[in-house]
Formats: sequence, structure tokens, C-alpha cells
Amino acid sequence: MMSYVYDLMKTPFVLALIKIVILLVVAFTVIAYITLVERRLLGFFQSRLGPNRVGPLGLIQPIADGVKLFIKEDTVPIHSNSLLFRIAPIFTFFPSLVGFGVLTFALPWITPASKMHLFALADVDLGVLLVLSLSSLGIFGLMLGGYASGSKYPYFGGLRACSQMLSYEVPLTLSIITVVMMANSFRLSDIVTAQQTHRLYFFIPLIISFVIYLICMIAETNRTPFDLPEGESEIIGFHTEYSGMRFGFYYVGEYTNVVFLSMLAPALFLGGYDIPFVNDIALWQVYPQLISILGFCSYAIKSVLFAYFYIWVRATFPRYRYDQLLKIGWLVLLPISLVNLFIVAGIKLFLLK
Amino acid sequence: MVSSYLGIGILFVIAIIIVPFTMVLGKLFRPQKFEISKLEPFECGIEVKDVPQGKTSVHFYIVALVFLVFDVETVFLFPWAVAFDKLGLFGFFEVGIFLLLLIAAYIYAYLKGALKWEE
Repeated sequence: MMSYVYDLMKTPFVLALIKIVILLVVAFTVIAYITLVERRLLGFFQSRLGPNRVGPLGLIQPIADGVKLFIKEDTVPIHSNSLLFRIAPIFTFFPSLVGFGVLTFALPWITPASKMHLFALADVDLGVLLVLSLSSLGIFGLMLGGYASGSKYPYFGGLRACSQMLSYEVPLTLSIITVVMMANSFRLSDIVTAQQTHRLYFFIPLIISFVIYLICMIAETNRTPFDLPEGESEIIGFHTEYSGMRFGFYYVGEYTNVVFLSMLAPALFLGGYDIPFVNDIALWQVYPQLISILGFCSYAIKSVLFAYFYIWVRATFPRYRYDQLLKIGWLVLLPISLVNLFIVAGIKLFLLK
Repeated sequence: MVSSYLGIGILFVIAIIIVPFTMVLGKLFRPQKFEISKLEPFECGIEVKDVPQGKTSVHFYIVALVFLVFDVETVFLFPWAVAFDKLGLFGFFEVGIFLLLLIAAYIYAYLKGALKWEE
């Protein structure tokens, strides 16, 4: 019986299914709790306590929020395009969730019985391209949601969101291209391996790309200095007409994006699952399982740093005006990232032979 | 390595299904009381006069057009970036000329006022 189960687990389909279930459970837990962490931290930043009533330290708060959204009535406005109105939240929700599948979380776990890669669902050779194409799909959710509501303010909000995300996508792509150029590969694990073999994290040679990535990742997820698509209390945004769980999916989708982009950033710039100051690959050949787990922890800590950066920025900076936002995108970030691309190419060609 | 895309394919399907699945499941739990005033669009309490007809400020179209130029450009840059070491000096100057042409287009768009928003 046991051997039958073991054989079944080794078929690619079942193995992938098991990994997906684990991935989704972990991802949803992290996404649920980052909302709580954000509200608590914002509370501390503003000298108050934040939500701490539901359960010890407020730990049950995300579940209470989820249940509340789940049992709220779902309304579809009369003037809306009801099919598009129902489809739109899917587009915000699924792209970054699929993106998690491309990430590699640690070096392969080797047991005597098998050589399974437990910490990666699908380490595809076009990982970076897949991530970028999925992140462009996210725009549809905002645009269609605003358009399909059949109401003026969500319509304008959708347009604003769309042109903001379009403006910041070009610098984001250009900054990621420099990483691809350094690693010579689209595969995310190859990018990490390149940083391990050079013993140099890419944020040092590519400091300009790193800063551009940080700014664009905040703009792409519509977070605070750039939260014009929907300012939580002041600006009427694209999901004004949404209620209940459909609104919940927009909300969860935004946080999925936050978590995903802060997990992508370490892989691109901070060496991913590399343990700092240690020669990982040499040690991994001696203690494969230990290094695998420590690398996973290292990746988790680096990702948490980026997630904290999001919250920190939100607590610190005031919102930009809309023309300032587009100006930063087109007149500052785009020229800098074009020139940066050229500089990195020159450095790679002439200095790093 | 087609098999590594299998996981992505399954995850793709599951991620899309989650939303309709939750909405259908939620029907068992959530109230549904029909009332016409609840379904009217949000207008800060003022009577609804009209709905958006798709009329949009021309600035949004211009942003989309400029975006299209640069997005197509990045598509051409990807193969160059991944084969950078093989192409070497030739690729460097080739892409240099390509980027210069684009920067010329960028300057043209700027001088035409396509990248101005405050009025």
C-alpha cells in the first residue's frame, strides 16, 4: 500500500498537484497575515495599537475579515456590463498567484531515495518572461472593473489605474532586462546561481536598476505614494461599485501582488535563496538538506524585508498628484532606465570580461 | 523541458477557478435582497443623470500609444539581453543604434507635448 502511494506521488501530475496545494495554502496564509501585519505596523508607526481585539494580538483578525466579506451581499449595478463585471476581479487575482509557481525557493532537496526538487513547482526556462506577461495581465482587472461598473467615478478610476500601470511597466521591464543581461538566462534559478557563482549580489553592480525596480514595484501594485487608482478613504477608485467577496478578490489580489513582487525582488537582486557570506554550493554538496532549509529561511527573511519596505514607505510618504506621477514615470524613470541599460551593457562588455 | 510547464498549467487553471468557485459557494451563505436603489451607481447622493459612454480625455490615448512604442521595444531587447555574451561588440552597437532611434522618438514625443499633463 505504502509503496503504491509512493509511486503515485512520483508521477509528475500528482506531484505537481501536491506542491500546488501546499503552495496555495502557504501563499494564502502569508497574504492573509500580511494584511494584519500591515495594519499593526501602521498602528505602531502612528503611535497607536492597531487591531488587537480579535484573538491574542489580533491573530484571528484576517479570518474574521475574510468571513465578513464572504457573507456580505453581492450586488451587480443596473448600468453595468454584468459579464465583464463578474470576470474583472479574476484578472487582478490570478496572475500573481500563478507567478508564485515560477519561483524557486531553495536549492534542491536531495534524499537517498530520490532527487526531487521540493522547493520549486515549475522552474521554467522562460520564468522572467512569464512573470512579466502575467503582471501585464493584471492591468485588465483594473481597467475592465472600472469600465464594466457603468458608473462615472469607477470609469475614471479605471482609466487612471490603467495609464499608471502602463507608465511604470516600461521602466520595470527595462530594469529586469539588465538582470537578465547579467545572468544570461530567463530562468529564475539560473539568475540566483549566477549570483552565487560570482559571489556578488546583483544589487551592487545594478544599483540603479534596483532602485528603479523598488519604485516601480510600488507603483505597479498601486501602493501608497502611487495609490491613485484607489486611495482607501479619499479617492474614489475603480472598485467603488464592487461589494462583498468580489471586492475581497480585488483586495486579496493587491496583497498577492505585494507578496509576489517582494518575493521576486530577492531572486533578482539579493541572491534569492543564497545564504550571505557562505559558499552555498560547496556546502550544499556536503549537507544538501541543511543548506536547502537554511536557504529557504534566508529567502523568507529577504522577502519579509521587501514586504516591510512596502509598509514603511506607506507610513512615510504622502501621495503624489496625478501629473507628478506620470511625470516621474515618463520623464525621470524611463530615460534613466534606458541610459542605465546602455551603461550596464557597456560595463558588462568592456570591464567584466 | 515541456514537463516543467505542467505545474504552471495546473496552477493557472486552479487560480482562475478559485474566484467563480468562491462566488458560487458564497451564494449559500450571503443574503440576497433585491432593491432598486441599492443597484444604482454611486454618485455621492446626487440623482444619476447619465452613464459613461466611453468618452475619454485624449491624454490617456497618448499615454497608451507611447507605451506601445516602448513596450514593443522591450520585446526586441529581451532576445538581445539573453544572448548578450554571444553577440558581443556587434550586438552592443546594433542595440545602441536601436536605442538612439528610440530616444529620438522619445524626444519627438516630448517636444510634441505628448508627455505634458498639467494645464
